[in-house]
Amino acid sequence: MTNVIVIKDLKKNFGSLNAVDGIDMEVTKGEIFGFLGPNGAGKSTTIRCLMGFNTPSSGSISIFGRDIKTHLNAIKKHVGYLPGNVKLYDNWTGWDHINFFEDARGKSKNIQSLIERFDFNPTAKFRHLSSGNKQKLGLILALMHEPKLLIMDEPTVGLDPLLQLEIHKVLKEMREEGATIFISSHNLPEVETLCDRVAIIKQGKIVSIENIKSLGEKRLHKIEVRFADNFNLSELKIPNIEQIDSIGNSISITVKGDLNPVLDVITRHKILDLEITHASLEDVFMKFYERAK
Amino acid sequence: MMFVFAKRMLRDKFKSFLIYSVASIAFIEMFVAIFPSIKDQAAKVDQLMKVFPPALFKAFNMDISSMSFGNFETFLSSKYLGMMWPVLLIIFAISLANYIVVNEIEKGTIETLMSLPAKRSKIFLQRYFAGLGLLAGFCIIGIFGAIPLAMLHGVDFAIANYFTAAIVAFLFAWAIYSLAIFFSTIFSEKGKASMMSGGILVVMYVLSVVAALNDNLVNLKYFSFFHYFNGSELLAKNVIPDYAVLALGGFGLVALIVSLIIFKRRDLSV
Repeated sequence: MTNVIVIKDLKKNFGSLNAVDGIDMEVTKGEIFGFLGPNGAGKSTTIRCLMGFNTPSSGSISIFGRDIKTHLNAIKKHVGYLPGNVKLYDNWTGWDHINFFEDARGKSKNIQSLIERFDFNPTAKFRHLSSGNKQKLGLILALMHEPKLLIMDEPTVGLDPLLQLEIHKVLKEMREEGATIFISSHNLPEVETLCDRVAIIKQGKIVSIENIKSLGEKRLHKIEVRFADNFNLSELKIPNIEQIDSIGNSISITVKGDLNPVLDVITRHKILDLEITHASLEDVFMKFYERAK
Repeated sequence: MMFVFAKRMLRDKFKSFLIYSVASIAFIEMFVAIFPSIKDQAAKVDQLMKVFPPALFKAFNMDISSMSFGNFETFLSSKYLGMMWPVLLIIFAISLANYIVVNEIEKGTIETLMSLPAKRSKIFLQRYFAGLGLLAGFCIIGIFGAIPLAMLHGVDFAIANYFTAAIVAFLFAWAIYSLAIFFSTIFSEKGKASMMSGGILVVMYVLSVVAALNDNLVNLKYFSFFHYFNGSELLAKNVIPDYAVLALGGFGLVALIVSLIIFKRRDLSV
């Protein structure tokens, strides 16, 4: 598999603050790679280094097998970029932006279809657009040259669910056509829906890089049970129980891995109600953060 | 397209260029219109000027011994090039310089520009020279604009003086623009960049006044752009001051090179 992005020991300091502290990452051709982390974890700084907006303090980044220090200009011909809150020129219309990008990148083959697909009005000035329409314009500008790599920094922040779905659809289509997508987010359901792999960053360091499928396998279960009789919590001394909460005769148990030892214990009692659910991906990620503390 | 960034800069700033140019023409028209009545009273005005203490005129970089308000270029120099026009120029030059870098950083639009496949130096230089072109246009309109208005009002003029004045005025504009570009590339906030550029120009003006008033500090004048561009006398005397080309042009060039190096290296997203 070809690596589209290779990051080696990337560090970025702002004075004494280590915003990115030695991260290594590889993004393979044709995958949607999620980059997860809370605010201030170093996601945007990493992306700014990837795009060449900021210069790394040390380490190396290569995209399409070429070092960004020496080939950034050639690399950017094939990269689309979409930041979270798109900032464009207030007094320019959508067409002004599109024409400017065409002048700089060359004639777009798919501009009309993108405008129609996103139901975007390019005659309005940027300052008059709603936040959703601003993001649509940003997306059109990022996609209009059919990039091989799309880098997105929290692209669906503040967007309505319909537009989010449309963006997800576009990204999946791009993946099918062989494009690579690097997407930073803290929207976990979005990551779960879209991504093939995710890297989790915390305080500038990569905590884990996981396949979404294997993350699913590591999922937690939540068992909520209401007993007819008294239940003694000391009966539940089982290693794979992560958490127990109890109110009266009801208990909530978070279990990691095999459920059967827990079920063996609780079925010895008379049960009034029982519900077993998958814990959310968010719970799984929270476990990663807790482990990294 | 080859000059996409220059073209866009010209389009974006053309409206400001027109506003500043029309303002300078309006000032010229005002002074040309009142000149005939001043000329009629020139002997009295010249006499009146001699009553004031010489230090007062030194403070405004004016040598009244060789000046007469019966001459149109002398009058326009002292009233327009010595006061109004430099103020317009400074504001316009700083606003252009800010637009090139610091404004983009403050508004976050720099990421849009930098996501395009163009070298930083190409983007910077195209925008820089587009801005310099607008400044050159402003200088031409602000100096040569007096000629048709003088003709319209039947005022005699010495055309050679305007060419000399335009050359010095452009060098002065370039130096101010490059100073402002330097601060535009250093800072991430427009207010700070404007304050530094404006502050340094004020200090330079004070240096030229102090040097004129105090013989012991006379050499301080060489650190001031206002020594090389003496608007109060420029049109009247038709002389390019010593070292003006070297000092103003040299500063413009050095500041451009330093600013380009900083822009290529600095973090653009903050």
